[in-house]
Amino acid sequence: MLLQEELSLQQKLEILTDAAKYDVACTSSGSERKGKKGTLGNTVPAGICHSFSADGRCISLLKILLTNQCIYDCRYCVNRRSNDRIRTAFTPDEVCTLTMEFYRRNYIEGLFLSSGVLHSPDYTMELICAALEKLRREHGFRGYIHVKAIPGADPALIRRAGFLADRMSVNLELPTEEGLKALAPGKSREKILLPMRQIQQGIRQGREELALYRKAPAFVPAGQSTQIIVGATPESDYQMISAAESLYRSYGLKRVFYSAFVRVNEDRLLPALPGGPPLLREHRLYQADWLLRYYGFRAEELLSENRPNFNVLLDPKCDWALRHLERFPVEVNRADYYTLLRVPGMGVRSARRIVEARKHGALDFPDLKKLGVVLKRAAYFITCRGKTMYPFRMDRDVIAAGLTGEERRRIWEINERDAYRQLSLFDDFHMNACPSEEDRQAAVWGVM
Amino acid sequence: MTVYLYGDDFEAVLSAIYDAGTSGMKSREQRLELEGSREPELFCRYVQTEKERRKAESVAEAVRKKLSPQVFRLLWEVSLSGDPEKGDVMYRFLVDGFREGPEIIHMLTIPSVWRMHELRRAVFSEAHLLTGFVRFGRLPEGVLAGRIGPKNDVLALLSEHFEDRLSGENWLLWDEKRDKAAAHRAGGETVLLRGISEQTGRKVREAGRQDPFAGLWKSFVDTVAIKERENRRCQMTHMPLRYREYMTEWQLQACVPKTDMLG
Repeated sequence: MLLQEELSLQQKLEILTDAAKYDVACTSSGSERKGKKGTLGNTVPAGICHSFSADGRCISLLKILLTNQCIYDCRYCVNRRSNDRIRTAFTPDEVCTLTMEFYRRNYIEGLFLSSGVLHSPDYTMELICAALEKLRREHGFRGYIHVKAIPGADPALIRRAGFLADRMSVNLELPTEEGLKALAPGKSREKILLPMRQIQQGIRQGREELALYRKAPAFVPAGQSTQIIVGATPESDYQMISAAESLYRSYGLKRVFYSAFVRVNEDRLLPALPGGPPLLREHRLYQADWLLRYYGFRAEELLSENRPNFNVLLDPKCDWALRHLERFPVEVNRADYYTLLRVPGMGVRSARRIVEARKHGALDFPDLKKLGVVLKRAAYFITCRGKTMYPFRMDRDVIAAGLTGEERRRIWEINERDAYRQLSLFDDFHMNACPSEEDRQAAVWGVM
Repeated sequence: MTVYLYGDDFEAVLSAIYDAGTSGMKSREQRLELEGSREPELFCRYVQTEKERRKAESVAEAVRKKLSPQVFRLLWEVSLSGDPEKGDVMYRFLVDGFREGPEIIHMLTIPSVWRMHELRRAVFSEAHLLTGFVRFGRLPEGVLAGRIGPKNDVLALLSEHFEDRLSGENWLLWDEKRDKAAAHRAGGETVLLRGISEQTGRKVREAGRQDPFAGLWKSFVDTVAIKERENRRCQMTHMPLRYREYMTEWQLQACVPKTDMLG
């Protein structure tokens, strides 16, 4: 296939953005680097969103591919070899210009550089390193860089990229070996996990060196992440969440991203998905992911072999609480932080505030509301000074009915958004037909 | 009821708090009001407070000594809020504070303390949003110029952020609602200006549109959205409409979603 070189920068940007957009990770968090006098850029630990695209996703980084040419033929991917698309590539200079100029104007927080595999993994990784080196050394760019490690590339090249980037990621895409075999010929689980392990060891080693010499260069300071496609293969939620948990545990990942499968290719091995991408399932997985990372839950507490998928009607935390009613209600004024965290309707922030505020006096329900507790959910699981908010029967069905009423509305918003609109006298419901000549006359003469 | 009227800056609020605190009346018989924020009421005595460095220093000193420097910092942060009731909230917070002592800052169940934290949170969340939503445009002279119109007076917080980030650039950030600006010289200091000329204002307004990179940015923003996942409401929650007026990607054309990406 031929690379088209004579496209304008605008056309290249459109093609290579369009090819990169299915990667969901766009976070710019986890790295703190102060600016340096006379140069451009710094990074903020919390990350900054610079805009939001029409699909509601945050735009934080300039997310582009170095090239959309690829030697692989993964069935789920837009850039698969057998697709007939315009193929092009950025030169390192073009990547630098776009990043620097966008960053100056505060359009972006940094660069997310990914790539199709051109010729070989080594060749591609070499190109990526060259672009990053130019950006960091020649242009003195100190903003955020997220870069993909290409599986199969020489470890020395991956190491080189790691010292230039803030975050690295290798996409697992499919959580099981069977899934990969079916949809991504030419890739295997080991091949993907190998660079992940290498980056993890590099990070660990880097920390030790930092402890020894303060000036040692940081290796992937914002950690590594990965992405799993949801709904392309028949894996259950339990398999997904267990895969994520083991990645967090044994590979020390910062984030696992879930990407609802969008059918971009016609292929008989891909599911049809008549209802659009499985957004609700993706939503539930993210909720569960949060529970794993911040709330001290384990995957097997949330799901099991017998119950492999999340409840459609209830979020994972409510679902867990309903199955463990023997632990509730908890007394807000006495329960410890970790017990509070497990109460539906309470989050990390509100639990912390409760622990802080109750030192200075007993809390009651109106106080909790101020502290950010969602009482609609929490009311069933807590007491304040020994009393529940209102009398109800501590019964699974009663509570479930109360909880789903609210949850159903949210699900509706996820699945059927914009399908329903409030009737109003003044809406035209998108009837935008131009008025005819008669209409105009009627309007002037007042004859209808 | 005695009402103390104050102007919209930190020193003026502290002066009003000083006047209210030294009047000898009970706190429930007096309140603070931002000038021009409400219609005058019957049965109220209105007192126009004089903004004085001496009064402000005296309150500041008392807060730093008897409470803590953190409480003073909190007062300053809340004074940036655009809420017209901020002066009264600060006054009540200090009344409670001098009664309870330095621990006041953690006593979230006291209404005034909670209100203080709410206001502070609003200031900081707007400042954080704007660190992302501010757009600079290159003027023909080479200066990067940006324009904001925030609810809260976050220019000082923002200029701290950009001073570190764009230290090697010449830039100007203008709050058009309060007519204040922050200007930075490459490699140098940042200064806060009280207003800019009308001509400069006009140029800053046009800066985003005339920049050659604005078109590239616009096409990036349009292309990066996944059509199958379109969710305008989600976009709106994260990026409220009031910011869009100042953002390059929304200024360039009416927001017609571009459906066909490559034609």
